[in-house]
Amino acid sequence: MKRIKKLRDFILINNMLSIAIPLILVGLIVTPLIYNYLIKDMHEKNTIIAATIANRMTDFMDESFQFLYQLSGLLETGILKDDPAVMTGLNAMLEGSDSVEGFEVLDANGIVKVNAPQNTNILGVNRSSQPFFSETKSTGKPFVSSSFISQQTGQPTVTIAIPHGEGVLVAYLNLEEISMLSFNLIKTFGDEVTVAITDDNGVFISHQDINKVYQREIEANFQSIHQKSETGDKNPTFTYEGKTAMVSHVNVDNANWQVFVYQSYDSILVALRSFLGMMLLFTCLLVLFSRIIARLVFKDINHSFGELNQQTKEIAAGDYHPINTDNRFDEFNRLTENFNGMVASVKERDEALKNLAYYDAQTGLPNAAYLLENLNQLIVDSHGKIAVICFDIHNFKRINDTFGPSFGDKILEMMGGRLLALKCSHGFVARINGSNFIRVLTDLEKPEDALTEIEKLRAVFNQAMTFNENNVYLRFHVGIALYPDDAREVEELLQYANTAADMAKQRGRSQYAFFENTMKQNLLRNMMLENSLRSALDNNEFFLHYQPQIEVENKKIRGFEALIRWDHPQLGLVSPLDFIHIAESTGQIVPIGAWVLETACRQIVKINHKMGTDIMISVNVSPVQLSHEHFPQMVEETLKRCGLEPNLLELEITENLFIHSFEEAIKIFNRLKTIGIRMSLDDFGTGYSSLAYLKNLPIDTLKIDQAFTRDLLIKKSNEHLMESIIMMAHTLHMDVIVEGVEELEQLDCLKTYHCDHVQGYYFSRPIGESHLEGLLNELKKG
Amino acid sequence: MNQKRIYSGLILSIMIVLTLTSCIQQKPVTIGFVASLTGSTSELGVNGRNGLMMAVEEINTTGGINGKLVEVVVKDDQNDPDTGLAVDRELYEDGISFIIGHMTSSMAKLSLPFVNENKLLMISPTMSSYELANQDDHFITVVSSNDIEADFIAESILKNGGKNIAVIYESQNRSYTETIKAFIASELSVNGGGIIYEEAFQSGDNPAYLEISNRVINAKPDSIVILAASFDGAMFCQQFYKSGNQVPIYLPLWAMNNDLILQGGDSVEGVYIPSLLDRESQKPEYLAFEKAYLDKYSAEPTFAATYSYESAMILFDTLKKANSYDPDIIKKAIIDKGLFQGLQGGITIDEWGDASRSLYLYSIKNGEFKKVE
Repeated sequence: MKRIKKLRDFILINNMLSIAIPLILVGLIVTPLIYNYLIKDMHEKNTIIAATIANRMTDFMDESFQFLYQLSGLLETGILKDDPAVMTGLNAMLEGSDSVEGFEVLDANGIVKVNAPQNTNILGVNRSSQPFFSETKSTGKPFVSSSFISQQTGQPTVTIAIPHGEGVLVAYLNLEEISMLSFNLIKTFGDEVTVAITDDNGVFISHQDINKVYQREIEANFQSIHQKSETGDKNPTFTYEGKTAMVSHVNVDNANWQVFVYQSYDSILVALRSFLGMMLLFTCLLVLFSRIIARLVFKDINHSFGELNQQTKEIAAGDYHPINTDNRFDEFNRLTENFNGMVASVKERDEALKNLAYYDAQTGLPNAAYLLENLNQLIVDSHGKIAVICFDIHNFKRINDTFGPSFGDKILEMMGGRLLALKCSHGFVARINGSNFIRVLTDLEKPEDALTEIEKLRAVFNQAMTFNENNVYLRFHVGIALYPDDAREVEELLQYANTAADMAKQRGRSQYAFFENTMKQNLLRNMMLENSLRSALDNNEFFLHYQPQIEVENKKIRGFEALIRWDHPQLGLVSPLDFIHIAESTGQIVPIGAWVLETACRQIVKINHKMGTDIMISVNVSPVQLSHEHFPQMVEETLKRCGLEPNLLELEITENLFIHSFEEAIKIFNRLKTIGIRMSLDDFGTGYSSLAYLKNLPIDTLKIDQAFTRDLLIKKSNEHLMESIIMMAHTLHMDVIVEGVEELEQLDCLKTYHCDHVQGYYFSRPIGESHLEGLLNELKKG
Repeated sequence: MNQKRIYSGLILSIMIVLTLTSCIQQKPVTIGFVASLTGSTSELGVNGRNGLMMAVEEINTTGGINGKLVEVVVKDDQNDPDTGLAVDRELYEDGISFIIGHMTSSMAKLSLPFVNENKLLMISPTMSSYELANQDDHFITVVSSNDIEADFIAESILKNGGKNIAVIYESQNRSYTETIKAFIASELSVNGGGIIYEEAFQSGDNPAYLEISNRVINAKPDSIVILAASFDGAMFCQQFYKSGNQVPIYLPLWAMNNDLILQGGDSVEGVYIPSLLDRESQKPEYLAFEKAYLDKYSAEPTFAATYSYESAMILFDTLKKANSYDPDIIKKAIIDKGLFQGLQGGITIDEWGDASRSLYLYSIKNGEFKKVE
């Protein structure tokens, strides 16, 4: 639809047209009707006028004939005995009449016997050719002539004649008198009509323009008028001097005369014009009136529109308030009611969207998006310190694995409930992901204020979580980053809090840590390591050290544990503790692990070959490596490539492997076992050491962590524990390797507990491959 | 939508309609007609006007002159040279360039210089004065010069055995009547005769018809020539009739009207009169014209009516063909063409704008014009 600029114009124009068009249509219909009526009326009126004049002419003729009859009577009765007497009589009659201007008494041959007024030229002339003589004589009836030039006056005239004896009596009529008569009559009918009288040939004998009479002009449409009147045309119209006129005509009874009444159509048009003028004026007034009314009406509507417009503008700007429905127009009220309904639903939907966008469905706590946005705002508005406290549920994944994911969800939900119940002031608590929560605490005066808050949170966490009759106690580690001390940016604050939390995690359970600059340096170092790790393998920056495993009974070398070392071009030697976890997190551990396996295998094959021994090689395997689907295949292929007997390879795994999935671990173990290699459980006693693992896993060797060895000689109970572990391992048909043996006493003690093998500085620290042969030879010598 | 645009659209369409309607109606061609239309000499003029109106009606019903209708402004010169000049000036001042008229030669003296001076074009149906012939002027006549008429009358007199004649002549139309009189006199003198009596009279002033007639009779001529219009001619004939005169009477073309018989009655029986019309002509054009005229005016067309009709037709035809309204161009075109189709035969117009036409001798027998074989 075409866009209309303004409703006001639209209403005004339509209003105007709706008035003007019907009126114009009425005008178009009515005008011809009025026109026809006026014509009919004019024709009727003019016919009456013509008839009136014709009647008057008839009377006039009768009066004129009366003179002739009177004369005839006088002559017959012999009152006028001789010509002079007749002459005198005629002159007397002439004086008494305006209508007759001359008399003639014709004898049987048409000779003028007497004439009045007397004219010797005419006396005795022959009228035999004149119709007034010949016709009257032949018919014996009164006669009215056509117009001709009178010999009496030299001007046009009409004569009347009656028979008298053998001769004829003739009277010459005064045409000016006839004209005067008709003019006087016509005056009473106004000046819109003109009248004319013609003789039987159409020659004017009376006309407003007397020249037409004297010049014997003929009525221009004489024949046509007759033809039309014969065909019954009611409204004969003709053109006279360029103007169209209606002509009405009537015969004069006792003469062959015609009375014509003319009326120009202009007069009708004048009447019609005034009607049309009135109509136009009326239309204009109505249009004007309608405009005024429409303007007034529109003023109200416009006010309503303006109001609505203003309010919707406010709503569009985000101010969702209901619109006032108090309007005098019901439609507007309905419109605003509907609009308010719409506003309410938009508001509702907005809230829902906001919840979805800013709140975590699981816990009902604000989410990461909320955190980012609001923390930023708090930083902008902040006047004091802000603590970003990151706390993470310790081993949440394990809880999930142990009790099922729905339990984990329930835990989170309960956590959310408890945290919300805290009604944290000065900031908020948000759940970022998994078991990671952030408490933002504002208006801190000193960093220690955060500890009070942490105590509050700890109280929440320390309560047991009960679900489906399972009781769980949660522990958490906390990292704190401070604004503006540690960082000014949201991203940095969150990162540092996380780093601090990680640090706390490393330090021990349910501990907290403030972010420190060293952590930042660690972060930087880790980042650098991560970056250079990618190229380290290609640049041959890795190398292996080997630590021998010694049989306790005979001090023989059972095998070597291969230990990776990284010679960083800038940082120098980097401990595996520093980079392995990075390699694990980036997945680099897979190629690095493969390299280690291959290098170690080749080395031991080389040694065995050279020394004629069957020494084993132990290689540490990361859980990430192990979970790689092609790992067993890789091991198998490496063995083949290097030509190492499978039973000489022992893969060392840590308990961490089982954190992810115990079932999966069993599958992988079994697969590796089919190759024929040995499996050992490293660092036993430091993790979630579970007898269930030991019982169900096809483990060949249990490596007891050096922490036990270190404490061995300090307490008697430690000795018992060590003895019990060794016994248990033996019960489960596992060999035992005790790590960290540095002193002879330790070795002796272990010997009494029937420990199978030891590993430690007492015999040798990890050595490079070049020293392997020397060490072997030395130990052989014993 | 813009209110202004609606209003201006309305006004524009109204203006277009008005312009279109005014374009459809073309301006008419207006010509003048001047003749004596009132009084005792008006018969010639009235008949002339009637004939002209036939021509105008005819041209207008066939689409006018190249789409333009013809209008006529009629003026009465009252057979008076001063009035004639005045009405010519009126026409000129009304912007009219073409005039049919005048009908009598006496008008020429004042009228022609005016016409020539203002470069109008006057075409006369009946003005036939010898004095006007052989002049390069803005005057064209479709009637032959009156010396020819005079010779014709003189021959008729001689043929009927007359030679000593009396002449009554109208003095207002002197340039016509005196020319004729002079030529008749010279023709008769060649044959041993002459005018033994002559008397002038002035039309319209109640002339002493009876006295003049008596004096003519007393002069005992063997023929009487009355150089007058039909009305006056009839009046003189009536006087001679009253006195029982048997001398043959001759009348000029000027009197060749129905009025002559009407007014003359028995008194005009046997008078001789030359005619420019062959009233028995069987030419289809003439018969058609005669019938139309009779229908319209209830009278036979006279030569004045016929010649006026022909004058107008020559003018209209030339205007149409030349497609110009410049009198000079039209005059030249008429003279260049030279030969026009009249109702009874060809009309030859010479380089001076003068025509030569046939003459017929008529006499009145039993109230009708009869051609004398």
